[in-house]
Amino acid sequence: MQIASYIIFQGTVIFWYLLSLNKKPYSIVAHIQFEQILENNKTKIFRICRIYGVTPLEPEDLFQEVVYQIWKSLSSFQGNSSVDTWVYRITLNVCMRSKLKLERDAFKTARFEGVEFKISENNAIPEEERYLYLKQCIAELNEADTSIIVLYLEALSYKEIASITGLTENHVAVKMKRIRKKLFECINAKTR
Amino acid sequence: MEDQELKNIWKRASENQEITMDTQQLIRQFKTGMEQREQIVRRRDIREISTAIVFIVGLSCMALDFLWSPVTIGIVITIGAFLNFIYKLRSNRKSKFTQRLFVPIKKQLEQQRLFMKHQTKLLRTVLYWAVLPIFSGYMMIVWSIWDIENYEVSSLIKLLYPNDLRDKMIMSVIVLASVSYMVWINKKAARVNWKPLIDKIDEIINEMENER
Repeated sequence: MQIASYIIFQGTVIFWYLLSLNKKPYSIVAHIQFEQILENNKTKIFRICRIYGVTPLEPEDLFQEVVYQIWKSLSSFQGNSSVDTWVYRITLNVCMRSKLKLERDAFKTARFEGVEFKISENNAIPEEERYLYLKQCIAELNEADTSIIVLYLEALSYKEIASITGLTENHVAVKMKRIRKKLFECINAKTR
Repeated sequence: MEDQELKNIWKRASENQEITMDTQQLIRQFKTGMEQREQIVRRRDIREISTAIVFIVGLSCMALDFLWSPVTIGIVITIGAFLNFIYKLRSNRKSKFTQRLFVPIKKQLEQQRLFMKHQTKLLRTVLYWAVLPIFSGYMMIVWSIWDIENYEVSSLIKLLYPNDLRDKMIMSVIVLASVSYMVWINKKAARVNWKPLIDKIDEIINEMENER
């Protein structure tokens, strides 16, 4: 009887231990990795969020959701692609879903206080107007073209763009030819 | 304007934006946020399971009271339909389809579309997998017994059970109206909520695939 109760007790302890293992605690390695990923990628994430963030969903909200999804997906990063590709995929998927309003619940959370956005005053930008034209012209493109052009502007190769979008490299090249033409025509018309 | 110039404008646009992050605080908030989201899901699971248990236990007790009468068959059909209902809802949850945000954009869109098509199918066919089985089980319970006073059942069941033709008719019409409304509202949800989104996703996937 005593042996039976001992076995049951041991079994329960092992069972709970295995259950706790399944919870995948957030390790210190993952913490450092997350911090590093954010530091290296925050500017480019925000650049993309500025294109997709349209009122009432501000780029800042979108940025936070991307950062949250990166943190959440970190445990499933297996290194099959580069960290950059992985970050771009999450960023564009989150941005696209928000634009399609597929995530009705995701953006209900309050703004996280751990992120602060500041406009540095000593850095006057004469190019603001030209950026605005660029943004307006990108807004005239369809969803698929928008995702491709932002990656192109990020100076990614066709191979990387193909890996992020799920298209073939040739297909990206063909598409880019047309998108680039459309974009230049639009910008030139605005700057004339 | 040249390509490089465009890329420079794009890159320089973010230079005046300074983003500072307190990762410690951020992770704390993320954890709280995630726990809250998970808690909502957990609460919903508990709600569904406890409702199912209460419903099944209640109907099973009733089945014992009416042992070996046609009511028992009706109760078994209703319980089966109810369990199938819960199973369908759980197996078609969003989390099973669309959580992998690190996959290529096209794949993510296809996953979204698959999820939405499942949802639409579920809503459009609610008549066959939920309404009809529950309705027929319930009708068997209502129309199979005409002499409830001869059964040894609790006084509450005796009181609630429609024993004469008029009561049975009224009860049936009310249930029929409710299930018809349920079918209509589900079909409307498929048409209004999901169809435009599926069309939009189809459009984006087509935009991605053309020019091959």
